[in-house]
Amino acid sequence: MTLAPLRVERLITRGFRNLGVSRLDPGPAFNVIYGDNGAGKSNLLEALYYLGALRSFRGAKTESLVGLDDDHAVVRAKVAGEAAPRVLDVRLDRHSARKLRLDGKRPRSIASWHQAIQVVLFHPGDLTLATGSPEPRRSFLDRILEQMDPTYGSTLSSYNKALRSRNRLLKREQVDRRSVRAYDTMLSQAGAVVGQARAQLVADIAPRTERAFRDVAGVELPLEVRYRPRVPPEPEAILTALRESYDKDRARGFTAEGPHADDLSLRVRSVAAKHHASQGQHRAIVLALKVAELDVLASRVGRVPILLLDDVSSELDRRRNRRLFELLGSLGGQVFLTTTHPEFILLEHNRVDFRVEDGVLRRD
Amino acid sequence: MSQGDPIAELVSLLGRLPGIGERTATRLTFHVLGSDPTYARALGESLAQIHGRVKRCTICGNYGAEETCAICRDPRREAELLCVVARVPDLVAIERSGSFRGRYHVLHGLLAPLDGVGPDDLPLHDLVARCESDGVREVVVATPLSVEGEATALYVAEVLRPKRVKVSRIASGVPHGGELEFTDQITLGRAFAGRKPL
Repeated sequence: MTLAPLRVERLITRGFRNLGVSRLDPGPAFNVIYGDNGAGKSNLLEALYYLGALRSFRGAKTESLVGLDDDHAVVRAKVAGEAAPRVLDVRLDRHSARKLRLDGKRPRSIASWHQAIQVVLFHPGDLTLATGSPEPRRSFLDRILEQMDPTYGSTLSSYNKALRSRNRLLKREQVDRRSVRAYDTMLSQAGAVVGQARAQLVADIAPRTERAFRDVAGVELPLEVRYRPRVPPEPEAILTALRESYDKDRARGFTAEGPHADDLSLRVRSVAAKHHASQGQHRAIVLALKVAELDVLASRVGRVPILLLDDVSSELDRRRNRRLFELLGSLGGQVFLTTTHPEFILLEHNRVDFRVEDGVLRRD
Repeated sequence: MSQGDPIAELVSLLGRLPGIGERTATRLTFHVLGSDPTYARALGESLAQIHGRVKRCTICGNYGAEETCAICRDPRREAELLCVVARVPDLVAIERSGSFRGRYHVLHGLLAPLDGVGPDDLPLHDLVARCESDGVREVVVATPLSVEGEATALYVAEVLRPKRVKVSRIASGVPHGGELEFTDQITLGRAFAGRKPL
């Protein structure tokens, strides 16, 4: 791959969780962050993730991201891409809105921020992608689309609000059918945009995921990745489905049809992964999805995103572990990974180790 | 500051206004306190009388000094053309543009099931009655392009469907000086669907 990778050249945090004032000058390839549990390894990854996703991967609210002794937190990074490095600055206040600065200026929009940095994260909770309900799989697709397409997020949130409104109406004792129909129209328009974007994305990531799964799992096990929309993502089809299911929806008190019920189906040897595959295979499936995410973001954005792997050594056996790093190395991106045991990370080259102790970071 | 403190009380009251935080409220309070007392008295009287002196037009809901507003009384305005808006400031904005010569219907709100606002909370029966009694030909819905604004527009269309009234929606698309790159898909889709020959 000839794409330029994104690289964090320097990360500064102040008052973020337990990190206090910390400075990290990472290497261009693999950065191994090790330390005991609770030392602050994941907090560092969370700070990096926040820069890319503008949210915590642990679902934490702003006030819990700000350290106990601080009234605000700052995360600042110098990020090199293809042209001149950019400086990204996030300030989180306990009591007021978050402030973003891109090269010292307020970004014109969230979209312009997302164009400056893309991150892909793998953490233990991601296993629900393979084992859980469709919900985490839908949001996996939605998070990728938000990073690739500046307008997807606003369309999706309009859809979700219209859906909540329709569900609220369905639960009422008296329903004015005409107001439900007003939402049907909106849901069919926004829903078609959401469904088509997801279908196109899955067409892009399916072959990449299947290939990465073979490489990581190391056996010829056919994984099949497909988008399974509840209703074909066309405005007319969604509108018809909503109108036809009205009586059932009314009885149940919620809307059954539409892209909020879509799934990303993952099948190993034609059996749904969650019913069949072993735990090791589940992990390989999720990693394959993440590798595909990285790959697809790289080709659409034109730069290799930053990869964050939380607690990865405990997640894979050594053989898979080594294959994964070979695969990641071939993609050429910058990687941050955390572990309790740096010797678990079977990497001889292109590696910089950092030790974290009580929120204090030291380069080996 | 303790309870019953007149400064704290005014700060708290001003702080309830939109766009005014505690800091601005404090600044305004001390400004009033440092100014001539006649100003505070005039401001207070004006505030106290605002609800009594300003009436909602019994026809369209616009604000005015009398039972009916200046626009509804103006014989030069087309009675057959109605524009539905969510709030009076929207009406004022349209008036300032000078692009509409009909009359208005102000909803003073939008359908919002999540906030408990339903059709019965808006003057929609009045709208239907006006369409019938005034021989309205066309209703232009100029509610905002939010989820609530769209739902309300579609609902108005549903309500007026059986009546012999044309219902239209203001055009939406790329704003003057807007960047295509940062325009959302729905807006861009609408802009293309509503394209015009050059």
